[in-house]
Amino acid sequence: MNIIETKNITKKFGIFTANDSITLNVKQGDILAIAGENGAGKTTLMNMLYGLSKPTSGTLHVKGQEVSFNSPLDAINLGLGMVHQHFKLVPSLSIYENVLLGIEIKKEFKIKNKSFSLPFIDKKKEIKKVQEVADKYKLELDVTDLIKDISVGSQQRVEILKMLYRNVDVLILDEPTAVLTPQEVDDFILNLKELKAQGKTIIMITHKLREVMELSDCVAVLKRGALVATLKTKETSEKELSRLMVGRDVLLTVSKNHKKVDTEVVYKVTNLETKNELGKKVLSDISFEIKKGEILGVAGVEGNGQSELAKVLCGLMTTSNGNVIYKGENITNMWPINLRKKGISFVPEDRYVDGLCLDMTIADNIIAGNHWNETYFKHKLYQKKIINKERDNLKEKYDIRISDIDGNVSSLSGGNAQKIIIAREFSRNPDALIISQPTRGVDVGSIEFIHSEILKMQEENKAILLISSELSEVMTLSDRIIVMYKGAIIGEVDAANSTKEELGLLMAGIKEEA
Amino acid sequence: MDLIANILYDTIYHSTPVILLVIGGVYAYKANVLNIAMEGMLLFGAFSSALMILSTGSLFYGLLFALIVNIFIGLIFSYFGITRKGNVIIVGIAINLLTSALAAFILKVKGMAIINLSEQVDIASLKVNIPLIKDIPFFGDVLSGHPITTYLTFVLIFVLSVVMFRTKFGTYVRVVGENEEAAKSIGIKVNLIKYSAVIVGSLTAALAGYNLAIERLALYTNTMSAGRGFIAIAAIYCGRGKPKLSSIYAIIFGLAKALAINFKLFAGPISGLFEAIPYLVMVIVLLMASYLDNKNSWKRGYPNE
Repeated sequence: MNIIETKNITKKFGIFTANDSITLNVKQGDILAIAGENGAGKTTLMNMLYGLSKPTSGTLHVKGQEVSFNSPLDAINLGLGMVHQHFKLVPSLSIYENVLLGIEIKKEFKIKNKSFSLPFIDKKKEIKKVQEVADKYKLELDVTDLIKDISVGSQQRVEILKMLYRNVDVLILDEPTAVLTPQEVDDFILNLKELKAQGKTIIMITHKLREVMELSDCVAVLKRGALVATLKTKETSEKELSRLMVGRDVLLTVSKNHKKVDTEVVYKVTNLETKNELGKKVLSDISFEIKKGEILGVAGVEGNGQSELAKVLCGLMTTSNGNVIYKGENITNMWPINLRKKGISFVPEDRYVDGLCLDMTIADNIIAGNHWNETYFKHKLYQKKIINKERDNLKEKYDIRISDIDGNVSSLSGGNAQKIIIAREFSRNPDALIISQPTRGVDVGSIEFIHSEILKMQEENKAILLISSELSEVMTLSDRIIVMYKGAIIGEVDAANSTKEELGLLMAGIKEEA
Repeated sequence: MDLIANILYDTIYHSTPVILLVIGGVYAYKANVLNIAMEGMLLFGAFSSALMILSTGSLFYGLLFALIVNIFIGLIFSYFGITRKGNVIIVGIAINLLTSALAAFILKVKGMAIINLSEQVDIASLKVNIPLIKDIPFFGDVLSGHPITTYLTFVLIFVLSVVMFRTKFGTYVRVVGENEEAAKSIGIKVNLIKYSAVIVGSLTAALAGYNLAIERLALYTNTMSAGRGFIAIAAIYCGRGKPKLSSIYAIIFGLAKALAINFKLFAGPISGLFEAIPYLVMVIVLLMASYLDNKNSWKRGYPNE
């Protein structure tokens, strides 16, 4: 039986068609994977199933009935629940409070046989009921913990619990494994199989093909808003899926030759420490060195100090202790402009906050951080011709696809916006590079390009620090990998001889005593 | 002893309108709506109650009218700032400017410079002496003999604090402010909660205006709000939206005002300068609160650099 059917669903935003006449059937009790590149329209489709937006045309059928959702509440009432890629939890509240948001249990008092509800919330009863559901589905949560104190993996289980408590039959998961460690992914897969065994239907959006193969019964592939194929997972392969997603054969991993690196240390960090606003140490005793022509990878679950490390090294945050030495010179706590002048380049974690100015032109962004340079500002005046020529060169060299050459950066896709930063930073011929999350939210084609550019920089003997929460990225590109856990370096491994499991344990804070 | 009792009595007296603005204003703050229209809402409360009492002579109608007018003002603010997603600062400034302009216009039409209610309102009779407490030496002088709204205000601090942290509505207000997407995804009507939060603030502002214009002075002038709405915003920020903590900052303002007024008598020719003291005190308190907040920040451009 089909629990969900979409018939010719189309969604348009202005002239842009995000979903083009999609007809999709979901069988009850199945796990369906929806695969596709960023911007292929996966999330748009799911948002319509969950009542967050309405289709421009086409109809939606749930359990045989045609439905029209005005809000997520309508979807939940019909048994559809969604877990979003970015969790929608309130950090200062506890697990049970988050689960019961919107359906709080009020205190009651009884007089004879009539019960009256008071305006106050009955916390005891809430805790008991939520814990019962969590135990039933083996989610391993203590529901009185605060969201801000639990791991990302647990937070995800809270999101799922939130839906299960509301008795949904269909769970829609948007990129559920993007933030998990490899071990957490394994646990997560077990959780989903348990849910399937208990009769739930699961729709999972993902671009990770390994999980599609391992978990799903069927897979639907979206490309540029259209459904290009619906396949039985057993009858397909990772290679076929990636070709369907991108439209050509893609190197899923770039190959890297682990050559012998120089012995000359270019960039060295000793005992680095810093604190957050609450006075809590977010970096403690960080020490490492990067040699000429070496890529040092920094792995770890997000929120274990990697962002702060990048900020300190880029000069956006200052240290409370420790030193940064570059080519024998102490550059601790220098301003970003001075660091750039010395030949260090940065690719920041959040490209739209720290990397680009969205409301300025591509040319302006290409020269950002380089305003002291006389070539671009002769006698302090903006040299439009020279700057535009530089932009055209880089556009060509880094394959940046732009529809309006004089338009603002805000009109670019994630991949092309990231390429602007890569072009700007890599073209300055730096000796050291601090790269954070270089391919986050970037399409498969651009990932391949950015990875090969990073390896090219290594060929040119640059010292590179690569911070990424994408474990496969760190493993394919780096020579050595350090793993961060709770603001400290918990271990270091040789990239060529390490396994995902080994790194996963370190990321979870488990250190095997040798 | 008399002087100290006077100062403490005046502290309560001057804190009351600011506390009222604070305990209602925290709701908009917690719902992540910056309501800088509180100054205007206070003045609207004062003006509409004064106008109503002038024409009917009834205190009750005055208060009722002020509450209704302020619900309306809260709706206007919310419509432009929340439904239409306008810039809340601009909307707030518009309401602040509208208040004194509208009041001045109506006064002009009526051919008055101010509204004097000395015939309709007997301030002395509005002061309520609490039995038993009024006979305790010293404490009686401080705690007793305030208008009814003042007592209500101090009760409201606790009531609104319980509403904020113990009830569904309060929880929703905090959730909407902290993670709007979370609220939406669960089907909470975000805009409705924001509207309600703003209106809680406009209602307490009506009470504050009534207290200021009617119970205290039996008088309305166009400048009588004297920046209290902004002082309340400062207090809310210093207290991070916690009703009790924010009220303490409001009381600090009241204390500074009481000190200034009582010592002014001895200041002779420079007594006018004393008017500035409460505001200076608030600037210093704000500076200190902001310094303490950022004391531990290691971001570029903060004290630790």
